[in-house]
Amino acid sequence: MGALICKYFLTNFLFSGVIFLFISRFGKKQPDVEWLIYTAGLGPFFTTILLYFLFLILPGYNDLFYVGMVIGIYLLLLVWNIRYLPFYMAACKRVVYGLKSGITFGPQETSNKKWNNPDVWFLLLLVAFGYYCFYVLMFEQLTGHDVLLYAIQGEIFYEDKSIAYAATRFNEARHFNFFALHGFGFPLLSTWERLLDFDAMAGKDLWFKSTTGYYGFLIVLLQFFWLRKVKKQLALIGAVLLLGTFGWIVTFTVYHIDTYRIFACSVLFILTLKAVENLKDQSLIVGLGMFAGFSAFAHSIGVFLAFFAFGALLFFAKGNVIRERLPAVVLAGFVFLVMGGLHYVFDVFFGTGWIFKEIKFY
Amino acid sequence: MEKRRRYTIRTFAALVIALLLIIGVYEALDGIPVDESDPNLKRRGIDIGLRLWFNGYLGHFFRFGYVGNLNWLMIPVLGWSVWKFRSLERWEKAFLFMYLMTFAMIAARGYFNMRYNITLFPITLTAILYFLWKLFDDEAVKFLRIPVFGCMLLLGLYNTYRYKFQYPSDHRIEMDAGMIKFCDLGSRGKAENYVCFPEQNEERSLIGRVEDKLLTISATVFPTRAPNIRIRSGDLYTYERSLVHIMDFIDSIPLPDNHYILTNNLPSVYYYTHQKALYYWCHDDLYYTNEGTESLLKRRSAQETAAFLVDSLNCDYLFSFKPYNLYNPTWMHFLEMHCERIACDLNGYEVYRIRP
Repeated sequence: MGALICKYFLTNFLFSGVIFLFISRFGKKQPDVEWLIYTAGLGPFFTTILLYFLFLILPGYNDLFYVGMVIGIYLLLLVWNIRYLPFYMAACKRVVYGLKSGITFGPQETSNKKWNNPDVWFLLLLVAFGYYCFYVLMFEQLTGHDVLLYAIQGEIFYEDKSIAYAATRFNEARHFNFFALHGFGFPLLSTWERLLDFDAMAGKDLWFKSTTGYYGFLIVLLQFFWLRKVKKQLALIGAVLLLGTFGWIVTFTVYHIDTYRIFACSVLFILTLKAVENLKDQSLIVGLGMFAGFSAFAHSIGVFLAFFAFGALLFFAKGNVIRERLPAVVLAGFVFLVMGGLHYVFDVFFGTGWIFKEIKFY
Repeated sequence: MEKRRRYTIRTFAALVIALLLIIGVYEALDGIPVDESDPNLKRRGIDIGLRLWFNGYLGHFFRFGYVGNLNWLMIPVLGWSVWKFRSLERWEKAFLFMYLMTFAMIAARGYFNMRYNITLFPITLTAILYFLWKLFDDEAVKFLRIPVFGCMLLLGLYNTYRYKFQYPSDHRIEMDAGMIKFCDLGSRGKAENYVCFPEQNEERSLIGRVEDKLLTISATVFPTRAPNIRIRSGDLYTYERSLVHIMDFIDSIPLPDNHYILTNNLPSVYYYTHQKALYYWCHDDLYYTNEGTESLLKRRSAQETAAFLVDSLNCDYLFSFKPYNLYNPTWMHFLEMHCERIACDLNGYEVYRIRP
């Protein structure tokens, strides 16, 4: 349990905070609670991207080397963007203050009737689901077919400390064939957990399993945050309907890649719509590129979504097509490639061929 | 006043139409007899025409058993947006473009997997709620929000209640007490004391029965929770998850070097045991090697298959899952004729010894 808390503190809190500072660098208007939610999902993802490039470029070193390199890169990013730290602290304070006063985000209101406040009910709902997720996490194993494939591939990355592209992704030592067509984002989460364990196998896959609930919560927060801008009561109805839908309960509580990829898709949607109205805000374009990469590196659907987002930017954004829209798409496209898109280029030309081969879908 | 009356009539008419449509879809999804010819399509809920459309291609809107019964409300929103496309804001146009493209892509290439149908669910639900709220923005008709959103809540929650017992039923296995036993292989001392049996309700205390009921409900609602079983290890009875024990059992099989367990689409062997495994999927009749895939049963009789597995592929045991076995009658025949079941659990996981 202690190991799990340490992993959360390091990856989900500290690393995500550093990404928050990094994105703040590009914004004219400083990001706030909204970006706190978005970037809360970026720490684990960005760590997998770092691991991906480290395994690709510097394969075969020991655990300590990779953990040290990842932490070192985050430290460099922190030093580079340290002047944005007050904005991060301010956003965190706002959330903490909000929680204390029964108001989760947004304007700080004073009300004596806390039980009439939809935010309080939302918090109770989150606590109830949090309890269940924790219960599931403690007692349930990974059993699903796909999630086990990802977890095993994550173990293989950990054992090999390298990523190579080949027509068939077959591991001789285990006699295991990873035939999924998707990016390595999700398996590398499992690899990261093993690297942090330093062979002690503390908890084995607790953090990896917890990503399902973690991203599920972020999606619920995301929906609540946006609907709350319209009306608190509407936001509560939205949360009840989301958490009360059977498929979502399953998605939220059964370990799988889905909340991870859906979070990336949802934020990509939001950032695209915002960027369409405001191409001048570079943080939106960089953020869009990052989430396009995140979405793609997690799952093949995300690659298509990234291209739809770029298309939307090109067709519908404000500003001149050549002077404003195209450069924005090029910048977002570049970030997308670095943040996961490259994997598919390599896979098409040097690997399995991705979707450009005969595929039996089921 | 006139506006208020007009809106009220229209709103309640819309609610009635929505209710009728939902009932119609329930009938279409659940009322039509299941086509048993392809167990895979049956399990995915896309076995025949109307279900293929509602649960498959249009599953994002109509797969009520998974995405809820409110997503289809997005269809009029999309229709209206397409109709009014020229007057939409830029972000609305961008949303429409991305949404329709994503939906079309998932409908065309991912319709078979209900998990893909839920990709746009949070975005869709948010958009529907936002749109409906805005529809009643006028001061004179704001009061209609209460019945509209009240109905949405009731319908949404009713749908979950309706389907929560149905979803995992494909994989729910009838308890088969006579068949459930762990065989003593006498190796590493792990499996020898395991005797697995379902508790008989009549022998149990009231608290025990309530506990069983709660666990059964939990297992039905949340598919990761396997039906609870009791494991007897010596004289000690404990509630345990069955997967742990069948994995322990597989781990305890004394396999020589370079010998494998054939695993039928179940990667858990790689994750939870130290045994080497050969991956096979009976539905496609393909096993995986470093050079790609090969057919196992094609052009081989059951006896030849058994001999080939043991002599050429070095597979003396196989690990399978009852519902998967149904996907391929030839595979079933092979299991019946040339394999001896040596372990199984209440989830339906089974270990066989191959008899050449």
